[in-house]
Amino acid sequence: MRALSGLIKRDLLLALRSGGTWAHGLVFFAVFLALCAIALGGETSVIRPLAPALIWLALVLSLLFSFEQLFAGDVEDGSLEQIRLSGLPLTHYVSGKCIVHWLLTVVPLLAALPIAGLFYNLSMATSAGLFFTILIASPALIIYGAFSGACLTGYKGGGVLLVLLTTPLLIPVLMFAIEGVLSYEKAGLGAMEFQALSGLSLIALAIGIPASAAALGATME
Amino acid sequence: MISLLANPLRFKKFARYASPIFGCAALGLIAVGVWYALYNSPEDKLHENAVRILYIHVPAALISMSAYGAMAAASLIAFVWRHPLADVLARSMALPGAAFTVLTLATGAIWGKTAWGTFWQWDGRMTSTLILLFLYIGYMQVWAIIEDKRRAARIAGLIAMVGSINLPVIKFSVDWWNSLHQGATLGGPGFETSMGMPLYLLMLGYGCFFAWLTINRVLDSIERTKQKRTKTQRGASAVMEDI
Repeated sequence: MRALSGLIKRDLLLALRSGGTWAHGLVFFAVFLALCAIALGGETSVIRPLAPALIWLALVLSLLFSFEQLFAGDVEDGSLEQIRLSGLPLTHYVSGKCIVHWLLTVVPLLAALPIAGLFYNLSMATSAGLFFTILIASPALIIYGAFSGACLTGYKGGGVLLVLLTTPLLIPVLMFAIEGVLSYEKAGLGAMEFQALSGLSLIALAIGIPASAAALGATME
Repeated sequence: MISLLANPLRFKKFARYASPIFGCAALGLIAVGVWYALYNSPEDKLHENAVRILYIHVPAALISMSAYGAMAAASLIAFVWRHPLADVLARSMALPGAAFTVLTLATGAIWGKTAWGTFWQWDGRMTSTLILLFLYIGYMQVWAIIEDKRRAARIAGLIAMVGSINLPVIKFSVDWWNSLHQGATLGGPGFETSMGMPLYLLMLGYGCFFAWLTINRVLDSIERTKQKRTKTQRGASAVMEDI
């Protein structure tokens, strides 16, 4: 447990001193939403029904591009080798990485959500629905991305392939999340979609973390 | 059976008999099946002759799904027991599987045009077949970009296994999301035995064809690794003589 918290502290410190690269996802999120609004003609009546889908797409895309570098630094400079030698199980290491990545990417996006809601003129209920769907589904997003990242760390041309590998796994999440935003207004958190999203996140937790650890192990063999 | 075929030499011996058996069976079954499907089966009441494309479509859909399952099973065997041929087997099944998926999508689109008046609809089964194609492409790409083949085998295997666990989830959620596709009609009301016969023949025929393709791709892959090995050995000895 101490090793895990040490790992989290180290990664947060690294991100803090990286000159703000962790905020790139946030910038992408803002730019994507602005571009969508412009492409759709800027008419609120057109944008509003599409807003949950657009915001979810912005979230998924901004996350997808962040996984290529997730393990790359540790593999290149040899810290992963040292961590493995220290006896820390790779599953712990992957969990730590996922927690830090969640703190650095999903939490800022959740914080920026009210502003996005303001831009798109969303109702409180829709904004709250978005907030809760993102909160509940984010473990699945992060873990499947981390799995693809672990599989492709250290190989050329991994970026596009990472998107291709992760997308099929995220399709159920996207479907339930967007329906969940709509049904939040009627049924609140008890809606069936939220149960499905929690289930998807739990499946991701159970499969994704051991699989990522195994992929990292295979890369270092 | 599994460990018996682990040895490439023994597999070659097995393939010497299995390959022609599967090849001939596929040829015969598909020929007879196609004859029944195209000439000797009744027209559908609703769709008339257009229904005949389903004899090509349904077996292809069956093979495209089961090929992914077989690929994942072979990957599991390779991952757990480090079975040397299971990796090759999984890899050999990917391209034929993807080809059958494309065939499913193409014939499905043609059928959709005649039956529903549109080539493409984002309905449950079509979407999940498309996702299956993405899974196949991703799997093959992993083999392509990772140069160290032993490493590629482990990572591609992991991807196939995670994908196969997710495949039912994807299928369920896509069906829940949107479903227009007619339910399975095999054995249901309005399904005549004269229509079932060519369908079963073609399913078997496609299966044999897939097995024949896979066996030959595995043989080819064994042959290639052997060639590569002798080539590198020769190179090394030449360098020694130069010194």
